[in-house]
Amino acid sequence: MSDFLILSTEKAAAPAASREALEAARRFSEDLGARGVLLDAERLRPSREGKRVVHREGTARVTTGPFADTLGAYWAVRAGSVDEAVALAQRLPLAPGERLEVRPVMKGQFEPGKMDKVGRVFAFGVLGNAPDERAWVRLMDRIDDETGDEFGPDFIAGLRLEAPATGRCLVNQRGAPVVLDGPFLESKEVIGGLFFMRLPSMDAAVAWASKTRFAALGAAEIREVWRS
Amino acid sequence: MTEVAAIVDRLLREEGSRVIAGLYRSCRSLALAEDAFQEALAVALARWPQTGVPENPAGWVTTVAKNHLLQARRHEGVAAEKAALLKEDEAVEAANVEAVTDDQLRLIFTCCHPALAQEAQVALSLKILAGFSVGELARAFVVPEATMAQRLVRAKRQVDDEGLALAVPGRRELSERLPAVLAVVYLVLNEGHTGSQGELLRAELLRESLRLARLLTELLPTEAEVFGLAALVAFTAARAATRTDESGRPMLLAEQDRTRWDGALILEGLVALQRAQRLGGSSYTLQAELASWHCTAARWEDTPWRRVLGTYDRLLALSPSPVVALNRAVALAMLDGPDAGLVALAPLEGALSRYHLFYATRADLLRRAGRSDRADLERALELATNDAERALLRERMKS
Repeated sequence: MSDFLILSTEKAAAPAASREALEAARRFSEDLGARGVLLDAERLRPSREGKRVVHREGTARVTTGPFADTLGAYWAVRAGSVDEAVALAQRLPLAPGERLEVRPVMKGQFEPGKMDKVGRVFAFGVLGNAPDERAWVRLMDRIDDETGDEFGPDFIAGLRLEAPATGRCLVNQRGAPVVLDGPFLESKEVIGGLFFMRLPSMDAAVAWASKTRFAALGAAEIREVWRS
Repeated sequence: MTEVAAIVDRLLREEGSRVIAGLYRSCRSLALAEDAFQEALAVALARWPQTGVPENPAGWVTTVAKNHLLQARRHEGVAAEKAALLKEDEAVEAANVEAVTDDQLRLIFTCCHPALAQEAQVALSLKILAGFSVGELARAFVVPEATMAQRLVRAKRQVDDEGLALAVPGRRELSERLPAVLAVVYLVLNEGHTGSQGELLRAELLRESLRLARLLTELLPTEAEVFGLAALVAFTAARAATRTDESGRPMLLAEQDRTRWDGALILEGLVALQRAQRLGGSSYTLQAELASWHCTAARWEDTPWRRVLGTYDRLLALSPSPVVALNRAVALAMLDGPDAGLVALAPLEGALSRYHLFYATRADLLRRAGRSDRADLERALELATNDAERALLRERMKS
């Protein structure tokens, strides 16, 4: 058995997830829970409240969301294969144009009770921008090697994902669900890891991320985790 | 009201709780902190017409109030003792980040100390945190002003005499004190939503309730009703822009331009509502659910009245209330026609004979049933205190 992350991408600039979509997501979580395969699931606050931190040549550049095609919610599941994980993901009804990514987890751990504790939790997406898959993997290896001791006592949990090519995409094309290989690396920054920190504010999260190798080598997208 | 008086009034309402929370932290006496604040406001009222309003009015008032506190302490001759006490407290605070991290919230929990009667807790919190006047409080609780003034004096004295001010509430205590705290946020929300007098929409109070509700969700992340209330606040705030038209006339839900509702706040409400339902919410959660049916209907005609009615039934089963029954009758009238609504209203008149919305509602159902609404509109006008609502009623009488 392996762990997989089912990532639901947030529509660019659109915070208006409908009531139906939210309820479908809740039923999806309950269904995964009843099957005993759910490890963790969270929804993130809208990306327009999020920040991306990139550190180049001695200065930290911070950009504010919304970000296109970025993480909106995730479900971590245990399954026998990527196809089994895709079969689970297909139980979540997708609206037209909506997209899910199913990505194998390379290593790491989850902390499903993190939102039941006092304080604010921030998710950090580790983004890597590379011309091709091999370069992307090399970049993620390097980030992995150089960030081992970055985390202080505020760290909650985190994981690293396998290369994009080992994953799948689910899209709703004109009302019909389609499974694609991918996600593709072409133009955008692809998520390679996700971790959580308990911090007092977004400002504190940005300040912390600006000093890390995540920002120096790739980019860190910071999003507050919603209590959903 | 002169310009300076208006600025001082705004300061009292918008910044009062923050200023008092800071003063309270340094002197640990609610009565002293509030006295110092009021004293500083009086100085501002006397001085600003001559000197002009300073650049940072709240900072100015805080400084004057702090000096007033220092003088009061010197008079008592206990400066050294107090200073030692302060240092000790600050050390406890730094170590206890799990307790309450926000001055204002700490102040709420102190105002809502279980040793105080609940009515005193709520009154005290509104006075200190939202800058409510004794008159507004008296109207909100339907008691004479003298009674309310007495209640406040006694409550403040009790907080100070029994040393409630020094207690930093722990986790279990927080839960026990929660209902009173939620009641405060709820009343602040209502005051922000409708206002008991004059200006209809008190945007700063809505903001205040939203801020407090969000903070409570961070401090008490497994309390269902905290999330129910947070959802209710978000749904109410989401519709704030359309609550009145340009002239301040209240807009009925049916007439509001729903494209101007704040989608981000509605989403915030829906997410909080889900958590509240999962954690097993009760009254606030059901009220939030009601608001959610309206917030997620694209048009008034799309309101899911059957579901609205179902939520009202569960709310009434939980805690029977004539005001809730009144609103249920409105939903029933939407489903089954005005006559069904009128039948449901009939037994409520005794309990609601001093409530203007009872008569305003019945007038509406009578008109829709093709009968005369004149007497009920007149009665509603007699009872309404809000200017904008009175204007609306007069308009309805003309048509």
